[in-house]
This record gives sequence, structure tokens and C-alpha cells, in this order.
Amino acid sequence: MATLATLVSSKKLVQIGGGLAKDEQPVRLLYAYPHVIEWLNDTLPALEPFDADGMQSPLEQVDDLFHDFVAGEDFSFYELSHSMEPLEDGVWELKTPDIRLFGWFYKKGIFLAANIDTMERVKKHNLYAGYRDDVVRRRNQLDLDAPKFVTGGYADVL
Amino acid sequence: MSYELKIDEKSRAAGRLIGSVRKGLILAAIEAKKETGISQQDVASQLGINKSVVNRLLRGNANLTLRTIAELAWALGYEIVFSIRKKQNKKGENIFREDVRPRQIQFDPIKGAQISKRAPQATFELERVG
Repeated sequence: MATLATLVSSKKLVQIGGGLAKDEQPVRLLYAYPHVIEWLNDTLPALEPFDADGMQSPLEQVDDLFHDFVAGEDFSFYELSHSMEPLEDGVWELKTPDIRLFGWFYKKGIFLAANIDTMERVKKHNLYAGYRDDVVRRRNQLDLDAPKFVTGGYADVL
Repeated sequence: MSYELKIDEKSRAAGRLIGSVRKGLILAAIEAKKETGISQQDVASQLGINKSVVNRLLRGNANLTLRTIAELAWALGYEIVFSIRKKQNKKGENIFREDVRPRQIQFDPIKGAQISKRAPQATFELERVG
């Protein structure tokens, strides 16, 4: 079994910094699988807002989300982010207007992003269940110290 | 060494300001609903627009102009306090500035991060009227 630090060292996970300012300190921890990082680098920058009037580009939305998460901001802004059914699986969907992140909380304040996609694709192709099951599958395969995840609502994970 | 999203500083500054405005309005809407029971439908009626427009504005799917921001705040019973300040850009600064970002941080390696709630850093605030 491995710790998060070990998994980062072996490149199975990547820690995300959140673009904090020099006077900010990280108070939550955010990790992602390498294929999520590839998507952030290769796909996200070219995406346009789904709504023509959308004010933030998808890249700006994700930058804002990562920052707010890592900086410990009040996440009630992202009120539509939620734990997916069944709740006992502990799979969470974090949302911006155009982007969906799927993953789980290893411990309170520590999120591991296992998948990422656009809101448009997820809705159009009804990918929710597929992503939820994929998160569980990836988590089961990850050599992470148990317990691998926490369950519950906002107060339990954020 | 952690990964940082590849975004230029101009886009980051614009995106985060837009985000903080939207989040400020969402907080005001949540607070107003708790205190006075005002709904998105009530806000829409006061502004003479469809409820779906209010929903889209708050969810970040519609363009927030200065006018719509002011009108939404008014309908919620809030007023906007705007301030602009010279950017703090001290090279190598890596200190926790209690005066700017007050909060309590505790990190327990077993339980994880324990964070106290606080308002977002924003260049504007919504103050309850009356």
C-alpha cells in the first residue's frame, strides 16, 4: 500500500497547485490522474463556453475552481457539486458551468480527480453512470492506503 | 513540484474577478433566501425577467453586465461596495497575511484539512441594505 506522496513520486498521481497567490497557503489538497492532466493541457485550452453569453472560458472556470478548492474557499458557491448516487460509493462530481470533474475524497479536504469532461458531452451522451463506475474502478485499482475514501455530505469532505 | 494550469495572467485575473462577482451574488441569493425567503422567481418578477434568466446569471451561463449585477443585488436587497487597489506584488513574498485573508487553518494528517469558512477574496462586497 502507498501514500499519496508515494503515488505522486511514482507518477500515478499528480498534485495540482491551484495557482495560489504569493500570500495564500494551500489548505486543501487536490490530486489528479495523469490522463486528467493531459486533458487539462491538451483539450481544455481550446474549449469555448457552451453558452454563447458565458463570461468565463472553460479554462478560466477550472482555474477558479482549482484555486477555490486549494485555497480553502467556501465551496457553497459550487452548490451543484455533489456526491453521486449511490452515496456509499463516495464518488463526487465537481462542477463549473461547462466542466465536470469526477473523483473522490481520500480524506476531508483531499480530492482525487479521476475523470474530467465537458458538461455538454456528459449530458449529451449520459455519461454520469459510466464515469461514476470508472471512478470506483480506478480507485479499487489504486494502491492507496486504506481507507481509500470518505463518504458523506459537504461537512464531511470539505 | 505540483502541476499548475497553463493560463496566462490576464485571463486568470479576468476569470477570477468574474468568478468572485458571480459567487458573491450566489452567496447573497442564498443568504437572502434564508433570511427573507426570497426566491429566484421573486427576483425575476422584481426585475421583469424570466426566472430562467436569473438562474442562468447565477450559474455563470449568461453575461453579467454591470447593470445586471446592480439590478440583481438590488432585487436581493443588497448593495454593492466596489473597491480597487494597487496590486500587491512583492517579489518572493510567501507569508500569510491575516489582515487580507483571515481564517483558521488546521491540518490533521489523519482527518485531513480542517478549514474555517470565510467569505471569498473579492474586489467587491455585497452589503445588506437596511
